[in-house]
Amino acid sequence: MTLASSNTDKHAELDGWPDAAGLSDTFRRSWHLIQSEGRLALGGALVLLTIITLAFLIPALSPFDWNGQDLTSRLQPPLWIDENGLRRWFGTDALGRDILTRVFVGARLSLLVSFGAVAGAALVGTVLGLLAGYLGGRVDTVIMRTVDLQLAFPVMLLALSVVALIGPNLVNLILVFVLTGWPGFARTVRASSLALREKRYVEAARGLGAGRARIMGQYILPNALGPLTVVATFELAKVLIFESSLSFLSLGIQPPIPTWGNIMAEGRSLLEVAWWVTFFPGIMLVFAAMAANLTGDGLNSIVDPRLRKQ
Amino acid sequence: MTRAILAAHDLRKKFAPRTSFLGHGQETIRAVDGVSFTVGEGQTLGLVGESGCGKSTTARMVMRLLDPTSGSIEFQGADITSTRGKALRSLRSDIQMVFQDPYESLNPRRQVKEILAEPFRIHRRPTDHRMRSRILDLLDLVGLLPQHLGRYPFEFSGGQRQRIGIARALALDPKLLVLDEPVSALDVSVQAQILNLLIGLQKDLGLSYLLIAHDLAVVKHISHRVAVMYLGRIVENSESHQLFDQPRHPYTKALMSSVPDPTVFKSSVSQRIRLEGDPPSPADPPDGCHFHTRCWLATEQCAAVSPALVGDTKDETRKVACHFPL
Amino acid sequence: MSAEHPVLSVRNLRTEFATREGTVVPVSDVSFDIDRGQIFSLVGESGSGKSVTAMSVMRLVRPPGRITGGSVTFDDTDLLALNQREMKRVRGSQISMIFQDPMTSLNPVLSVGDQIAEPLRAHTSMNKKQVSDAVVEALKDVGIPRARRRLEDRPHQFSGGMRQRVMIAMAMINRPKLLIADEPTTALDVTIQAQILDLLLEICQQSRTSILLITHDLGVVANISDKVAVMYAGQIHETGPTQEVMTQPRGPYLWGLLRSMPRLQGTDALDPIRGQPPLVTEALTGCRFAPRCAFRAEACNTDPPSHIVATGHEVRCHFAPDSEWVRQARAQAGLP
Repeated sequence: MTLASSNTDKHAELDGWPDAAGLSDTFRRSWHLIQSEGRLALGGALVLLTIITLAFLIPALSPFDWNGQDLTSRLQPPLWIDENGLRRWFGTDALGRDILTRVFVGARLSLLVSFGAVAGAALVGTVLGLLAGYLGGRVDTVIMRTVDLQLAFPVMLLALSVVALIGPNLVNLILVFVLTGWPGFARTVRASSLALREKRYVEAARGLGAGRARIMGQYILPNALGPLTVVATFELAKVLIFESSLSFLSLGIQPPIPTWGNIMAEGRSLLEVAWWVTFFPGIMLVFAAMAANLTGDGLNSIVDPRLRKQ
Repeated sequence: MTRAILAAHDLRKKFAPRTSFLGHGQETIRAVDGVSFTVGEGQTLGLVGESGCGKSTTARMVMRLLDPTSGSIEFQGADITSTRGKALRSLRSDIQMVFQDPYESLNPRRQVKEILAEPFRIHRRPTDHRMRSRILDLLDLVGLLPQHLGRYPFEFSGGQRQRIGIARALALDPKLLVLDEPVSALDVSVQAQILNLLIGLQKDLGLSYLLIAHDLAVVKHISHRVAVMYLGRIVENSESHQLFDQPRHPYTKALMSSVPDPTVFKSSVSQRIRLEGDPPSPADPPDGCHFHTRCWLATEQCAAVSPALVGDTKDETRKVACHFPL
Repeated sequence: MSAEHPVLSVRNLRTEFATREGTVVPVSDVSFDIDRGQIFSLVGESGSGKSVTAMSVMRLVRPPGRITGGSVTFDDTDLLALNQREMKRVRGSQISMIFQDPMTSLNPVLSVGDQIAEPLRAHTSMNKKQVSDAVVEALKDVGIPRARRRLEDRPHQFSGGMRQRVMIAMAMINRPKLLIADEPTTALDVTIQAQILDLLLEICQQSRTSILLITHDLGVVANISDKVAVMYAGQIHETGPTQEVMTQPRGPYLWGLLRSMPRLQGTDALDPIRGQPPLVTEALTGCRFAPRCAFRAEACNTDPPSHIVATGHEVRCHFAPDSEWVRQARAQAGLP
């Protein structure tokens, strides 16, 4: 982050107003960024981090097994509603399982799938985007037409057919999200590469005899990481919701293993008698997706001025 | 005359704008349109002209960063127009480039020592401690200090950055440096330091320079020979002193007369030659002599027939492409 | 008529910027006068404060920058005392400005005609027809051929030189008394630069508009200005009538600058000023040029006063009056 802002400084000095007008602008801008957008990104990241920490702590500390059925304590309301009840913080479901434990075990899976999918999509998309942007020509045409094709295909339909075809397990789910997520990364990285490829220091490296792989890896990629991170956080929010939707439709990870989506699905028919079964996984999803989006927004406004200069 | 280290023969570069889906292309741009020149060993050839004249494209072709559409480039007697792979890589160490904007040509995320180590890494040259001592030598050569090694480009002033750029270019012991507007982004007081550095390096290391510049005074100051370009063609090519003492092409004369001289004041400034209008677009250059649309001496012949770049009858080295040289 | 007031009179101007690293003073104690119909050059290297001076005159310095001292008198009005609304009325009508890069100062999606008309709409109550006639007239005045047919064109349809003419037309449309031109030809080719400089000279002679020209090019300064002020590190180092100052520089900075410029005439070796121009953030005491001065002495540790060495020719150097360094320098350079 420090590098990004100091880079903006130098550019500000260069264009338009030299002298101190540029300098003042720079200070004002960096200060403003850290004050507002930086805070936003930091807040979002903190929320996400808290959810991740809890996903590890709560199932470990909970006295209840995530799959421990106890038919005598079915559909207990949350702790603060029935103080004489069984002291289950988030209540229990139709089989008497502890919701709190299940929600955070579910968080593990939902986050694992989402992070895995985003990482995979980022990897595939970055490699293809770099190749398309830097090599250009036919490689570019083929990759970008594939991107267009991919984006033209209804995502839900694609996911449904793939899952129906190869079965809904963890690895397959990640695969599906990689398949639907990579075009966004490819586009962003390609755009950055196109701009960076024209940079004098890239030309200088070519003049020194640096090969394509070295230029892409050492010169283009590090300078394209900013926008890439932004896309990744937005993508994370998208995949979180998408994964829950699939689970909700029982096309994701199958019960009894909990995910936010399938807990909600189980609670759907009980909404009138036991709202808490649906509510807690739902609110966690909202928190997580919102936190990811906030992080993305924050990062975006930090990275963006620099993008414009490029 | 000295032996030529670099020779370009009838270089051409056309840029075809991407044709659209239905195949309607725009006109091709003839950025470089038949350019020939030589750079003498240990000498400087100044390639001068206004923006869009093709001088930077020519430099990039010499650097093999762009492939010419036609024509050939000879380096030390060998044709390098289509050198590829390993041979190109070793050629890279012989021909190096110094860029205009030292703010842009250094990777902002690398420290000076990494920037200077890069050429050695790419060419897998000496071992680590030999590389270190070589880098220190380079710093010394360009007037920087060892404590600068750990700093990032943005911590330097423009002049110092250009010194880093020059050190990087010198790392592999090149024989020819292509200098692309090496001082035009620098302050006046710093320009002179860099020009003197370049002159000193040429003397000490026996370097040859191909200098690309728009500033005639800079070109005059360090060039042995000068070629003036206009719309993709060389219009005049002579020994520096001859060209500046007695320009033979009207464009050269007009260009010289346009340079604001600090010893010419408001009262006498009106006596200079003024060119009307803008240079025509390289996508649609005029027929005949490219300069005839702005030339005060143009005749029908100039509009119809393109003059060849030929040597003077008395002095073969003094070349001009004009039907009516001055 | 009695002797005219200067159009612009700047006295002891000081502009500061509050930054994280403390207060930066890009302009300190700057004074100059511009007479009616005069071209006044403010010349200096990057960071010398020349642009901030111009921005201060226009009151366009944005926070955290602030004018903290001195006065700017324009046509008997103290500009620093005006409120924002009154200042807005001055800008674009009585003082206008053109910039280095005409592409970024023009709106790419608006037609050129609309943009030139903008200052007219803001400051006059002309009807549509009058506005359009005035715009065509303005374009003709700056030498744009077939002006009426180009009104609807967008900026990108003009070449760099033509865009700068459009900017000048826009700046001149309300017949301002002062035109501030900030590096107006730096982005242009020399042959086009020559055309634009001619145009500025013509404007100045025909409409008696004064021009404050900000530039780094001493050649441009010599060619078109009547008076010059050479800035260094936020101060005016030397000022006076252009021809006198440039042929007989009495301050070591201008002397050094002229000796380090490659020229078309003459074949002297270049004699660069050593070191780098100071950063705006550097705190300097005593003579600001002293660290780079080849003739520095003990006295240079204290602030030099401005010495008047000839009519209107002032130099901020301890040794300007007796010019000992000038004799030394000339001897060193092998000059009489």
